[in-house]
Amino acid sequence: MAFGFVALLLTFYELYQFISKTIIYGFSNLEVIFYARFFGVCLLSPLTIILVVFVYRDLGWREFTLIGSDKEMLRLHRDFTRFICTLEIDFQLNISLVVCGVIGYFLFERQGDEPLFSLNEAISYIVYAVLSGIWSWVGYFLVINFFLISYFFFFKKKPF
Amino acid sequence: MYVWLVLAIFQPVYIIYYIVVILVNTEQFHQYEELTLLIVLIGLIALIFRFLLLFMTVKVMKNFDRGLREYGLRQITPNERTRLNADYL
Repeated sequence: MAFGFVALLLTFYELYQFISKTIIYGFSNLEVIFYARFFGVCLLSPLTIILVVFVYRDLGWREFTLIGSDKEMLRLHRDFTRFICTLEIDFQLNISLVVCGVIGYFLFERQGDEPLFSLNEAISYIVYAVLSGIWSWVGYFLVINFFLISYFFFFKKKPF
Repeated sequence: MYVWLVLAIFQPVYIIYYIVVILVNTEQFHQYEELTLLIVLIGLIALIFRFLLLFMTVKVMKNFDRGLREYGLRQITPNERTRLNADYL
């Protein structure tokens, strides 16, 4: 199952990464992280694009090996992969929000300024990251189970 | 699944709460304008993607028990296995 949605996941992730990186690059005035981030964008983004192109070209064949040529089943499988992709991007956005909140406390406290958030808020951000991770993990396995394992749990018979 | 859907409400509420806090206490957040702008932007994108996710879950839940499960559970025949192995090479 994994190979089927890896390509879609990577393309969505790549789009998200580009948008977020350009936003951060545009608004940042943090001199220390600036150059590292710039070189990271320059080196890693073309590499990921090339890899995404390579994976994307195999996507049709992989779908065919998994599902076959049934158009209805292909549609269902694509809905499933899109769900997984949106779940992944949602989790990524949650993590980036949490990173912003933690930076708001720790970075400005180091500089001696008044921090943007209190320590309690920074800790609550980290707890929130863990909880959202658990939430998306549970959702992933729920959908996977509804598609794959619930046959054994609810109907107690073999599919074939 | 429905419990999981109910738990999905908390993230948008949290984001909207934080945006309201930032809008109310503008003097406190004015010092770090870039970071607050970034938080609001990422929060809005996260809101959009959360609603997209809910839409996709409804779409996927409609597709339950339509026969995709069998494709995940089926036994791979030796012929297909060699084909898959050839695909990896």
